[in-house]
Amino acid sequence: MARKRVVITGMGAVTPVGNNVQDTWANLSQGKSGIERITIFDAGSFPTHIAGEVKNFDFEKWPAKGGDLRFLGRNSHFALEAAEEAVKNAGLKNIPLDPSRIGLYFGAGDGGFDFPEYASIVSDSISEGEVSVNKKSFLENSVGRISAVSLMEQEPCQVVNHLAKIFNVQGIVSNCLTACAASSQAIGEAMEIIRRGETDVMITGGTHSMIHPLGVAGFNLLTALSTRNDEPERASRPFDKQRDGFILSEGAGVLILEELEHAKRRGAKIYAELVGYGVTADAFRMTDPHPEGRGAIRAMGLALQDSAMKPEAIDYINAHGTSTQLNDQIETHAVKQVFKESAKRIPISSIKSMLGHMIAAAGVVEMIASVLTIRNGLIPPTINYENKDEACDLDYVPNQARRQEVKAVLSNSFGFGGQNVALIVKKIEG
Amino acid sequence: MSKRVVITGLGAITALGEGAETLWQAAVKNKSGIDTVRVDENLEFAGGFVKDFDPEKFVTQRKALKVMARDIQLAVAAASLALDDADAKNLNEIRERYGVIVGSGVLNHELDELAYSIQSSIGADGCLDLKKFGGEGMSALFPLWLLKYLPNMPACHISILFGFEGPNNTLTTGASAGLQAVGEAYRIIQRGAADLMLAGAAESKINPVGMSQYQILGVLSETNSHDPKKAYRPFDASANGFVVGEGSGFLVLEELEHAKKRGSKIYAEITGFGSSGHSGQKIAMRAALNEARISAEELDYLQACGLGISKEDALEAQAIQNVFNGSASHLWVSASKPVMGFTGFSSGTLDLIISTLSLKNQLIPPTMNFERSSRALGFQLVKDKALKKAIRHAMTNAFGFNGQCVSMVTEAYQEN
Repeated sequence: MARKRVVITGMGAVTPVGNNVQDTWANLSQGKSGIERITIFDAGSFPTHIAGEVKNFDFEKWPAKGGDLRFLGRNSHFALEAAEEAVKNAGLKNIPLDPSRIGLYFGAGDGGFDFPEYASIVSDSISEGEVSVNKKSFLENSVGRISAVSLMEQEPCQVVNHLAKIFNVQGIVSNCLTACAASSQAIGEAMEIIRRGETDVMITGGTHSMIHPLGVAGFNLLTALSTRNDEPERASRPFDKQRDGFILSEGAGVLILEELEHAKRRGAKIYAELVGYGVTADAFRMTDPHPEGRGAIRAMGLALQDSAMKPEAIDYINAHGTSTQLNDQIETHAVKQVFKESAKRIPISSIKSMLGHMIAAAGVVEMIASVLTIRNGLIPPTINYENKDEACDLDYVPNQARRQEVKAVLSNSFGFGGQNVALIVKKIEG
Repeated sequence: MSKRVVITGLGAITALGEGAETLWQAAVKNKSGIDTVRVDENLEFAGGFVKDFDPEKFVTQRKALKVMARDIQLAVAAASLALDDADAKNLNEIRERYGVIVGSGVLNHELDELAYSIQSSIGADGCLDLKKFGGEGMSALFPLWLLKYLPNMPACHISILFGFEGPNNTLTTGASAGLQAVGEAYRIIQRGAADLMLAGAAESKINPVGMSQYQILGVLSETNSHDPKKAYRPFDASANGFVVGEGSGFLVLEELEHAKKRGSKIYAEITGFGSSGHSGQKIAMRAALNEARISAEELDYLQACGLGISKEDALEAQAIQNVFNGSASHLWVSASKPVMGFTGFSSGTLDLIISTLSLKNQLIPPTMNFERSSRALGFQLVKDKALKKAIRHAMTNAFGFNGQCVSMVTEAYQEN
């Protein structure tokens, strides 16, 4: 039995440059940055105090619906909003669907953690003159001061619980959390589920917010973040020689994937076809990517093989492009290994230059941008590209969007610990 | 045509000790690893604690151990045992065709590790002063602190230690995550994307942070002070919560021809996997049966989730009644969690290891501590002692009390 074809029929997004797909795309195509000083908490004394926050978001809308939604982490808020947009965009509400033929495969990150409250619990559990925590007091204080709902919101599975319930999903429900590759991996796995005929429709994507004291501290300790605090909008500069780390950001993206015939039968608007998925592990080191990009090269190769396309058929590469020294250099090297002589010719850009790094949610928003690149014939730029780095010598679409016909896009996502995912999306034919 | 997938290696570390066989023997003999765990002079609780665990036996690099939360150390250890059991550590195969999927979630940090940072960041009002934390407070943490607790680190460490460069995933679907990981590893081999997958999960919540969380959720058994081994009672009328266990369970899944070619011993074949949302118990079980192409009457043995929370047990019992609809005259159900405690992410994989050994030994372990149910269960629960029985098809359930629902059907291996 031939495997089914999978198309994208709906999209939704909440990002640092827009609370829906249209606004996000408009700003990305104008090269607008969403990076500003952190306002969620007082980050003034942290080595990094800039990030890509979601702005003007209505945090009262979903809790007002009551029940399980009364207390939500930022990740759940963003996921619900983006999913609602995507489901509406796909016109799913207007057609009869068998809930057991709808699945959910998400890449949701961990939820809110009230660090200040936790810190005061810990502090109150240390007796006068002691250095270590009195465990019994800690337990008693925790039970009295932390609510069950806020605790449950910390677990990534809570996001998919909300989504499954609200959108009445009764088929497979899964959530992967493979660091910065999570939502791309979720899209790839969701595609495989439709391909094998298990469901007709998949709600997929990701959501994350690590803009909290422990998140910023953790990445600062790893020296992974940019400290260009006085120029927030210019801090994320993938492939530029002066890049000094990534910018933490937040948000969500959701795609509706659908089996091609199912989409055609109901006359759905088809954005593009997903045709390739490759996933590998570097199996090298916890902290660094493989210096030759071993896993990245294979992920791209597997995605091409899966799509039965030749490297030269790719018109644009949406880079992982984090703005760290190592990633951008190794990604460039890996792309050259895979695309050989075509590499110099294929435009490659990183929208993280504008959005920052949405961690688990990064990949899906990059896929949405890839789809819109195909639809609009416009390649979003890598902004803040000023100084050429000898090790990064490809066409990064510097600073300004470019009008160009694009039929097929490869999108990369790589994560801490050596996770590599590549996806290929192309213009729907016929 | 999708590939056939068999189980060729088992690895477990639980309160009973090291090895899947150790766990199996305890389950069959009604032996519990749950004890009173003493945290310090004024705090103790009932739990299935992994005693005498020596991570250095499995990871020789001390530097690597330092960045592994205890959950990760346990994961690496059980994965190593599963590979040994499958005799798959030194294969001259291309490791690009070998992958890893781990069930995981938010890993608990160690209290004292953060305590110093926090203490030096408390302002005059007794509250956290972020100005202080962003400066000296934070720098008291060690540089790789974040990496020690990221949910995907168990899978990454395993891939690095054994050089597995194939598909690598981390599933975070709550208590069903471990069994979901096995199910998705099965899918990956089915579709031909890998020849061998390590799949499983580990969890360690017998620490102040973990225990505080379970206390907040109100899911712990309250009768655990007098005899901790008797406190955990799935499906029993007196069930009033679970007892926490620490544990790690991993399985080696292999594409059938790959296993045959290298002469692997085959424990069982995976033939059905169903997954659904929070209240999808029936859907998950039906999907697994359908895929295995067996009717409800053909199932011989069900390793129930049996969380031991009366409301959850009632939901599972209802779902079983509904799916098997009174016609399951020869279906026997068992729940093994009282042996090791509720081990969270890894609970489903450890239950699957037990049901796999049931298939191999044609023996169903008893449900420890079960005396009588408050209302008719509608199915037969194996109690008191193990039941010798011909088993062809087994099902394992993992229904999270807050996570998703997963069911898996395994079958005694037959050539055709």
